[in-house]
Amino acid sequence: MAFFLHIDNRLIHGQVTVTWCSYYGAKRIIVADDKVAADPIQRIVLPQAARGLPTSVVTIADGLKLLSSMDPAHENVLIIARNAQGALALMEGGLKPKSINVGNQAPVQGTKYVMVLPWIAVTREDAEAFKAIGDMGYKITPQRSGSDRALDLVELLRKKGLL
Amino acid sequence: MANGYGIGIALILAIWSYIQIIALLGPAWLLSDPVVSGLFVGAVVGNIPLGLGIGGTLELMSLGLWSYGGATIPDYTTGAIVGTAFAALSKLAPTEAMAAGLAVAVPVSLFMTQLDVLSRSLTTVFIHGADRAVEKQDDAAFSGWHLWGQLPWGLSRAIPVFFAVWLGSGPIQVLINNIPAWLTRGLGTMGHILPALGFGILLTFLPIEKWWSFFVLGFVMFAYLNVPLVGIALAALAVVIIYFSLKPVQTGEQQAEEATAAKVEETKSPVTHGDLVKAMWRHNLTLQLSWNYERMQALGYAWSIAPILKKVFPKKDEYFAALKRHMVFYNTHPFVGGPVIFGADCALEEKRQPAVGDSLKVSLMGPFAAIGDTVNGILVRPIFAVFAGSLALRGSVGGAWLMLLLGFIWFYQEFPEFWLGYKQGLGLVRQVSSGAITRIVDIASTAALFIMGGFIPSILAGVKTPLEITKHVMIEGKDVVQSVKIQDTFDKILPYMLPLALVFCVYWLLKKKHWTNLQVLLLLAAAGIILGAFKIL
Repeated sequence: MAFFLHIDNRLIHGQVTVTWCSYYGAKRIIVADDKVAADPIQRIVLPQAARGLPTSVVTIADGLKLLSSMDPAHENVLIIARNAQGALALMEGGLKPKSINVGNQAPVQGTKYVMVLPWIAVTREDAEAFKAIGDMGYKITPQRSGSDRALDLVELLRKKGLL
Repeated sequence: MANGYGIGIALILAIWSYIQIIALLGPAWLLSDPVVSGLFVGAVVGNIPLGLGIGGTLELMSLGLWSYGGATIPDYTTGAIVGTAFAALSKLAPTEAMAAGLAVAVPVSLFMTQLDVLSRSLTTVFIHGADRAVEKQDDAAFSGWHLWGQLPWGLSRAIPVFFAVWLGSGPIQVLINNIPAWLTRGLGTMGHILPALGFGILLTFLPIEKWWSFFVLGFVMFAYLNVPLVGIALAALAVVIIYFSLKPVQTGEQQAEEATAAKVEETKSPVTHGDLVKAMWRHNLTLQLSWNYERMQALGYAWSIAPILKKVFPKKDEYFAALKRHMVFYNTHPFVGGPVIFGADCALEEKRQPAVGDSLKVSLMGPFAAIGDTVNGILVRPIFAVFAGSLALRGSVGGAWLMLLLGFIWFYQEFPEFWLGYKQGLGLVRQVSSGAITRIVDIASTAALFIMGGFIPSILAGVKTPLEITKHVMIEGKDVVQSVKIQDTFDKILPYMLPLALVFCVYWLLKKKHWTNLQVLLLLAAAGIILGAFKIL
């Protein structure tokens, strides 16, 4: 039993519900992102996507509070961050996940991004945030599903000259 | 080079390969199902039963496989095309030719995943082209980038098929016609056990740990009560619906009222019925033509909604700014749910509420993909595919028609879906928050479990052992040799024990050991060949 951190701009999506929840054996989903939590439509609709798993859509601060009341020894929880900065804020707030994966990062218009993998766009700021997480001693994998190779994202960023 | 195909046949099969993937990306017609492509190729090369046999087996292997969120899966369609074409030239007996065709089809399907990744990456060039067209305010170029986005997709299938059939079929014949008997036997067994992979993958997507009881019901109906598969499917639907109608529902309606209470100013709409119809056809016929890794369905979506934007924003600058707003990441289920979101967004654009529309798109694409992937990928398609695959393996073309029919049903229902979304507009959020999605998904996944309980033993009934134990016994003073069939002993303990054990072994490797589909496929292929060659299975 453990916490799993998943970074995906699509939040709760087919890949998440069909493959990742089953892969981790997650019994609960927490979407922690300030922008998403502020959107009333997303707050109502996202839990409906979770195929019946209890789901909370909360700000990062509330997410951390919620997580501190849970015991990773008893529950498999999938925590979803929208982007690298959100993930870093969660980690700095004391989240200790068993694994960290990036499912999808679509490019944001008007930013200078590099496609590190065909489905992962990273800006310099994102790269710094990923590196900061890596420096905490975590390996970040860039898998769309468990069938993808478990590469090391920070190493990829170095190869692409983003770090 | 003797005995190979001429350039004409190679060209016909290449054109089919191009059309089948475009038909899937565009209107979601299922020409791409292995059983349909197998039938077509069988008819072209003059051996329909062979095409159906190879296509049917590959169809069963692909149960539950769907390109969720754009993930690459083995291309069993191209496998069926090349495998059927190659095996049809051989001088082997029908069952042996089928085994040889599968031996060609499986590696071809795996190799094609590389080209699928390439085509999904190359299309990225087209969305960047479209970005530039929007900057230059060039509408014709913008349309062109979307519509020609099909090229990497179609050619990545057509070119390899053309060269494989034209140049490869002759040389491979020598190999196929000289397969030793033990290997042919092994490949035959491989064909029998490979559908277990499809079932295993499907089970990992289903809530079997929570609702295994539904699976047991289906199994009992087939294995002990001998109910035909159609009967099991009907019983499953009935039982599951009764169960969920007795279960209380939780709703989040009140919150939804607040969110959707945004005021709408009634203005005279510049959008005509004709504009809506045009947008709807664009969406339903071409949404995924230019699908790419970077922004997925974004370009198709922007091109589809363009006729609405043009009327709402008559000024050129505003129109292209609106188009640009839609060139952002978007991906949902193309035919279950997708048209509803598109319809609702058309209504919101028409009412000049672009910000609300954008938020609706972003928040609904995930939930609707979850419904679509469950209803189509886990429930409806596998059920049709099991019937189609088993009909095809019996040599009936009905299997291929069944998959074609399913494609047309999905296409046809996209139109009412669009109008539903258009009429609901933002009210869609209220519908969604009533818990409807969770209920649909629950009903679909439990019904699928029930049905698979019956389908698994039925389809894998051929997984049996011919082993016998002989022993000497003394009867009335004479030494008599008695043989006991191990299969009979198994059947006494639990009917269809081997098929169940096989599927749950696949399930366990995938779910608990986190093996990849490819690793399990290779294991099953190797085990099939070895166990078959030694006459153990």
